[in-house]
Amino acid sequence: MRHGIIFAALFALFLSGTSAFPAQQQKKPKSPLTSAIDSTAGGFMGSAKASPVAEDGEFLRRVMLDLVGYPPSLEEVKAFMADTNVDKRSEMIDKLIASEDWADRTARLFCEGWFGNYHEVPIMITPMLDSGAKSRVMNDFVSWMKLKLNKDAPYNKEIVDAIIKARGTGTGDPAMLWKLACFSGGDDGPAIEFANRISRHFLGIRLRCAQCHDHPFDVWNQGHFYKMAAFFGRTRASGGTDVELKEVDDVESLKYSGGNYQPQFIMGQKPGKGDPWMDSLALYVTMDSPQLATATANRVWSWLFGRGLVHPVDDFNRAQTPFAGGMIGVLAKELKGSKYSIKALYRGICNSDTYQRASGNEAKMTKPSFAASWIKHLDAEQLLNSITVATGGKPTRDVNQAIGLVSPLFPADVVWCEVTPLPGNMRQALFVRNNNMIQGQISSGLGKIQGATLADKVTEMFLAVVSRKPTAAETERFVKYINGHQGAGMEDAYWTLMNTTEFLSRH
Amino acid sequence: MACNNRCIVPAVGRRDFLSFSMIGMGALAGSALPALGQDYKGTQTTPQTPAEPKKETTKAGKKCNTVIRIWLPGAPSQVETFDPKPGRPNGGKAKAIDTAAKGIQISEYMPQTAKAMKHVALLRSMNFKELAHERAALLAQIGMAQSPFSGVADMGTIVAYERGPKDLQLPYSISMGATLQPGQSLPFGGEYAPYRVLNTSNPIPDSRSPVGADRDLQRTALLSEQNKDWDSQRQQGPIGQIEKAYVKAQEVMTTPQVAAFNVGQEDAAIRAMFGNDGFSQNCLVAYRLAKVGVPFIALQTGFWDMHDACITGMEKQVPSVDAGFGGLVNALAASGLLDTTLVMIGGEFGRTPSVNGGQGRDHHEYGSWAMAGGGIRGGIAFGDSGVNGTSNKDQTTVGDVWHTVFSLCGIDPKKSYIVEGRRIAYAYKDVKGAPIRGIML
Repeated sequence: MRHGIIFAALFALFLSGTSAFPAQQQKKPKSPLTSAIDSTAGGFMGSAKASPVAEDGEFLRRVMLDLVGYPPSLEEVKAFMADTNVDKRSEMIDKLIASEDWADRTARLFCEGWFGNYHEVPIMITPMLDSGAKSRVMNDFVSWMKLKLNKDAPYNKEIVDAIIKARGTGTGDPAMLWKLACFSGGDDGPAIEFANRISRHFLGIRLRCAQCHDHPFDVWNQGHFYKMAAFFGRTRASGGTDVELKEVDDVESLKYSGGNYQPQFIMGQKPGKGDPWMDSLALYVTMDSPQLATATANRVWSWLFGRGLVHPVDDFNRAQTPFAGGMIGVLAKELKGSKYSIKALYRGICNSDTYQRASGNEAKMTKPSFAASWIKHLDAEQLLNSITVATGGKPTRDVNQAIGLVSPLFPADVVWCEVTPLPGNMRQALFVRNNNMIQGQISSGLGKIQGATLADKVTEMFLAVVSRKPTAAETERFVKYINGHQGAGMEDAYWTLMNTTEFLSRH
Repeated sequence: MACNNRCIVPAVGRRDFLSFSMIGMGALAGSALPALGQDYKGTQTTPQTPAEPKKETTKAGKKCNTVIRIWLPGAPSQVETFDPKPGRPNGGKAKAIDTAAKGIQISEYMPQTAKAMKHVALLRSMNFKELAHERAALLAQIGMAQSPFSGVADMGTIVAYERGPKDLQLPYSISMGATLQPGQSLPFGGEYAPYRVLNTSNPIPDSRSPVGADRDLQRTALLSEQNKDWDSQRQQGPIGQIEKAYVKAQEVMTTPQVAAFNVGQEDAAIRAMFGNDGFSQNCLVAYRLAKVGVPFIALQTGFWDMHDACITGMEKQVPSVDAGFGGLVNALAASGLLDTTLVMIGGEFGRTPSVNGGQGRDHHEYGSWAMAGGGIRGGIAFGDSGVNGTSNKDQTTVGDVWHTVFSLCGIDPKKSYIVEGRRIAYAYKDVKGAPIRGIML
């Protein structure tokens, strides 16, 4: 029958070339990236039978949590389910990626990877600045990242390149923060920290292992590490109320622990006489190295799946076999081919069946498998916004509020390497279970639940909290409970849904 | 905080520094739950429980089952604490006083510790290989001078996991006085996550249901029923972790053990052994937590990076530490808990025997730590820094202390866990060493 529809569509097109044929009959074809992801993923289901693609509600909740950091409201879920447009998923993905909220969340995900708990950045990472300048430099950087992502600027040429070349004053170049952060890096000085960060953040390589000993799993040795550090040998920063980052030209090498190192990129390139060091390095990283695309694609993948194909995401080495064979290559090639469009990468992944698969599956998945959606803990922002939206409120973009409220629930990482989320803990459970503020929010959420019958109300409640309709058994279970608990039954039902593992995970 | 050239830590503010120094501090707990390997469904880390650990007990026949670590961030001077040099050119102004242990003198700022000295072993020739704050703090706390992966367990997590009693309903790992959440327990699962007490008068926020116990029980039953179906279709790691977190939350909500935080319930005689300030009161809480069997308790107090004005700074700050530490050892001894409770105290490294122009002391590779209880032989000064504090006999290292702790607790240091695909020994190579037999019973 599907063939029939396609045939009819083609035939109609052939006949008229007009749009007379009803649009909802024909789904847009998958993009090459999306097709390649799905065909590659097919070989990595393990022994499990593949789950079907998720239903609308589960899909919408997942894609919104991932892309904008909050789940859909009751109205949004209902509207999406009712929409008969066959391309509604890809249009939703486009709409989300085009939103300010996507750019905001994605900019902050990058910042988390680069600066650790970036909320602490104004305090932690720019030691030479006074507090006003710290906040300004940090805010400028995040706004700048957001702007670049929003307009889908090529990640290599307009983001990484600008970061590596950044110089000038704090009130001038907004990309400076990344290099300034190297000055906070601990005991070994900024050049060492620079070599560590540039290799981890942009190339996904833990070159630092080679600082003390030849890399245990790879070809890197101390020379590689210190020669990378040498690129920073001419960089100077001054602080106070403003900051200035500049390159001096009277330094010819980096002297470190008895050695004397000329700058050289780990893939071999060296600046010629008279070439500015930072500009040369920017070129090697952004244009000459295939590793930038690979590492970046892996990082984006990890944001959407909760785990990189190479994991941890900054640990590419010869002993690591990326999960799913050619998948990482597929993503990297496409990222390069799209001129480093982060949006195209998101779009390609989110439209795939692999991303959209239902989370339910009876198989016990102790190893990564594409048979079902990968389940993640909610991050702080997602948790707080889920509680707010589930009770009829509007998601907040006020990061500080989120931090103040939920940061005690997330044991902080001081980050040397990529953040790995901590498992759910007792403190989080107590908060959602018992916090008075949430109890109050439940009451107001309840006020918005409508329905002619109790069963209708239970359905609304499920849609509001877990973005799906209840099964018949669930409706019966909840109706029975509510009937048996006059007065408090509805509130208890709401509370129950908000404490389910379903609500507390991104699945 | 002025840092002179000898201080290689970047010139960050105090808060930044503390947050670095806290890494890895204080995880805690748990019990030797059976089958932790099997229990944990996560895909990235799996603790291994290979061979049954060698049963090692102290000669007193009891095994240490609680470790209390008092961390003094910034590294306090040994001269004004455990290793005074009265009358010597470098001795500063602190006098030495006699202690309950014959022949051992400590700083006059530590009278309570002096009373407890027959229980305390001093390590006066600690040799510190790391002289930068963050690396040294990491080495002491997670056994690695640099954390190469996230998810490395600290000493507390390991002790907690190996020694925690099964019937403990409080968090397995508790820290007090810390400015930042301590290290990660990832390989051991969320129930071993360190629990940081922000406010001892409300140690476990949200631990009461807002609707009362009866109604809470009813809706919790509905929740279990609802989760059962949904969860059974989803076997991935995070689901099991959330379930476990809820089990633990319910235990904490109902346990009478939470009274351990209520120091008002303690015997007047015990309370009188402690000072009234925040640190002493935290030590009193730690005493009560040890009593209910919490296996690892991390305490932190003060700021000790005294490159300037060390001489006066120590005079001001040490008495508070003394009241807490001395009080804790005395109280544990009085109630018989000291046999099975180890108390350890120290900072990142030592400070120079010489006094600089700002009346400060800089970072130094030799210094003192102290240990008491849990199978430690008290009344000993192990190691000797000589009359001027410049020579060092019978040196011990951070690694030796790790091995001593493991030995007292009956933990096999060769056991390991896997984090992000890599096997990490309980005693990582950075903390090579051997138990310090000379201070063990």
